[in-house]
Amino acid sequence: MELCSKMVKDAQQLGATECEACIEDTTETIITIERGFIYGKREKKNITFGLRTLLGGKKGFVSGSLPVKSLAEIEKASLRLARQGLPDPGWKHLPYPKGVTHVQGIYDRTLAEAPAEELADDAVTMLTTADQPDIIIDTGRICRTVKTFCICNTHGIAHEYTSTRLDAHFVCRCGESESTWGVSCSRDYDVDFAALAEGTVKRARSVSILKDLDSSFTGDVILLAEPVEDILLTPLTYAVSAGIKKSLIAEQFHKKGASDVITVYDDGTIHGGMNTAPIDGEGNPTKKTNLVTKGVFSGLLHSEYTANLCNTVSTGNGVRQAATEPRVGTTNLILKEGRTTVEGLIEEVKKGVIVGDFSGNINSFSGLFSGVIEHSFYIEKGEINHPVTGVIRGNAFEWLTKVENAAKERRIGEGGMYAVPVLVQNVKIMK
Amino acid sequence: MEEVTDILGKALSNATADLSVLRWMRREQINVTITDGVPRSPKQTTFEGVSCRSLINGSWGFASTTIVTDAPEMVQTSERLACISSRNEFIDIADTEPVSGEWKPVIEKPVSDIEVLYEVIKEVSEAVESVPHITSTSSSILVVTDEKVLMTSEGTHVYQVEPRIMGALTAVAKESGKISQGRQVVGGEIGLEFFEKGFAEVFTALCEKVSRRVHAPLPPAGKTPVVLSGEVVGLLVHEALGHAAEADVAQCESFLSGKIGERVASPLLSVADDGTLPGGFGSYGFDDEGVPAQDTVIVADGVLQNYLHSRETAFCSHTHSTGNGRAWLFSREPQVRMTNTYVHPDDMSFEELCEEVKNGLYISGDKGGSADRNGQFVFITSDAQKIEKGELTEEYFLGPVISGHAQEAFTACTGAGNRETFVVIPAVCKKGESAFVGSGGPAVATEVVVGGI
Repeated sequence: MELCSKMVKDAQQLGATECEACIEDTTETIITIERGFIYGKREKKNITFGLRTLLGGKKGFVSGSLPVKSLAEIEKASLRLARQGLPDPGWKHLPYPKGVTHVQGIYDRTLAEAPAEELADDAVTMLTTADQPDIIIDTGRICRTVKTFCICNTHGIAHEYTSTRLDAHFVCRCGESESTWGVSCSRDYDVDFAALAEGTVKRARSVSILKDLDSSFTGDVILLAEPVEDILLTPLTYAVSAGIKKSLIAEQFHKKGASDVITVYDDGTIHGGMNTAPIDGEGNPTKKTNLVTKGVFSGLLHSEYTANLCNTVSTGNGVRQAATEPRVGTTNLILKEGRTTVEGLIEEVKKGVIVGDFSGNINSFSGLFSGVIEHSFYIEKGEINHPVTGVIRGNAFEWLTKVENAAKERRIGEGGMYAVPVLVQNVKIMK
Repeated sequence: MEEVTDILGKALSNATADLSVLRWMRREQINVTITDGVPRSPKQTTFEGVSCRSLINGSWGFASTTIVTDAPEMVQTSERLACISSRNEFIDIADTEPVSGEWKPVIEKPVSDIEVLYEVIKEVSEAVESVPHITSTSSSILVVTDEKVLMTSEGTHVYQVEPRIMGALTAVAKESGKISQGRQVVGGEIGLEFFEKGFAEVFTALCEKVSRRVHAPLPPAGKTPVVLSGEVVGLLVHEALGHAAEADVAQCESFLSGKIGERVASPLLSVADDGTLPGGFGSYGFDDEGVPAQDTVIVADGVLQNYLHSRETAFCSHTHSTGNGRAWLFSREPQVRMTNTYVHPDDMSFEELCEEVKNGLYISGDKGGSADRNGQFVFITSDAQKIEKGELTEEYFLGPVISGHAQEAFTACTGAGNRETFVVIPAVCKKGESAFVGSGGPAVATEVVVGGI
């Protein structure tokens, strides 16, 4: 905090009209698995900073790693860049203090202090669980991150918080199947490593003998939470970010753009959320923002810059790493769960597929997607028939209007997306 | 550099591992962008740090920090981590001759200050203002200079500078609820002279294409004879063939596994991964294991010749490293990565390729895509133009998704273009970590499945 504050004061003394300094001190401990063995053991300590300097509407941004040989040189460079830059007519000001949001569950001391040996033991747990004759273990990874984020600006913002996170991946195969993966993430040291490996093994076995579709048909698709995140929520994320002239949603504000089943909100305040924090990357307090309410586009995400452009207030969605400039982005993006279960969705399908994974292209900007369905099953008359491969293609924004029902089984994505399975009706499924 | 060499040398003198590799790196980046005529704040980034990789009893440990003077501690931490030995695979690496040397390409017109960069992109932005339907544009130049020192306990000591520059142009056109977008990237290990020569023309051509296809229909779907532009060939050769030829992938399983000496493409095609390509975006003097960069033949006249190797994969295959052990930053461990991967040009003109295809499509523009290790690929292209009776017509389509199997697409090739059709495009490849790469080739005549989206 002291260094952050000093950078701001120094830049101001050098002539900056506004200035913001941000520092991140991150330590990662990583255990990797390759070919069924523990492979790498890494510890990385990175201290990074970002210094945003304003001279009227002219901005300069300098970033990098700490320590630096000369702090004064960095501060001067930031001002020099601002002088050399062209004025941004849309610039108004950096954030003013608005307090912080009281959040819980973002730091776990036990996790922060766990030795690398203990994390290696967790990796061994995954290996031992999956060590079965019909299973080939491809890769795995356990990553513990401890991060302190600090931000100060000339208007009096001065905040610091420390957080932890644990990410675990496990990838294996069974027979001729493509690689199958399992992912688990948490703010606490509460990941069940054996269950993660066991679940991945079970999934690999379930798709070990694949069958191509007999023919293309128009039917129903149940997207499980992971493809919902990839196909539907990722393009939506792009669309609900304010200040993007290219956003299609900006033109459809308060209009119906999805089915009644779809309610989506961004919430940077939830207990233990993967992107929960007391403040955003500019020092504004995090909030909950409704984005799609029963199919109607009801809100946009704002950073301080886009909020000022639109004469509104920031939604606490200026996201960044210290060394990058803030941009509009999501915190925890939540698709509201339905009342039924995945089994309930399956019962609704006369003819279709349930999609566990999607491998292909998704244009987040246009919503166009096309690719192969993986870890998927053919469904007929409300019952799962056999594992299947095929192709789906379409437009995410069109599919959002065709969502007929949603289930309640929630998946927490590493990027902070909280998706649930959905049933999309009347779409083409190709051989 | 003396100070860094001194710190690394002292740290290395206390190393006790079977192999210790110390790397120092400084990355300096300057980025200027103009979006919709509004300049974004110029950005200058400097990352510096040091890492140690230790191999002890067949087990790796790795530690890195941004505090360069902590190099001796990184040696200790790395060795401690290497000694965590529960359920380890025994790892060994191929021998290599220790090298000492320097590498620093000569740049004709280095970037001196940000104002010059702004002048270039301002001119570019203004050049496209009158193109119809264009509602949003963005032009940017990124200058990245990597400076590296690598020292090993085997006696290798190298110093190198990798100066790269990349220009990116994006345009969006909208009309009557229809929208289209295009992106073009240019660059290499070159200077500003490249941008002063024709950056504005490149952007104007991009905007005209994007504008033209706002109302363009989808092309007919199905298996289609096509001429693929050099950049689409580059995408195909990088994503579908190059990754499958990376030894860490091939040693697990790829469609190229165990096929050295077998035909995997038309005899018209030869594919190289050339880390020594002058001006290539993926070029360097030494990889991040201290092995000199090489021009590796992957495919010669359609026959698979080599995989790409780091020292570790080379040991497993009883061969030598091809200098492809690359790390994105000091804080990353090396893995097998491509450099500049391209199909060698042949002798057909673009017109002759169209004649070869007779009736089909000319497909260009790379909007991304993916390929799996089995060689199946799905790519989104940005433009298509009808070829009729062996001639390129003025009938335009939206860029289709193309899909297929890499080996089939390369085997079905009936013609490869000459140097006039040849391009190498800069890109940042993601394979867990990032890597600066080049990919390209000449235009080729072949057959692919056109998806129509």
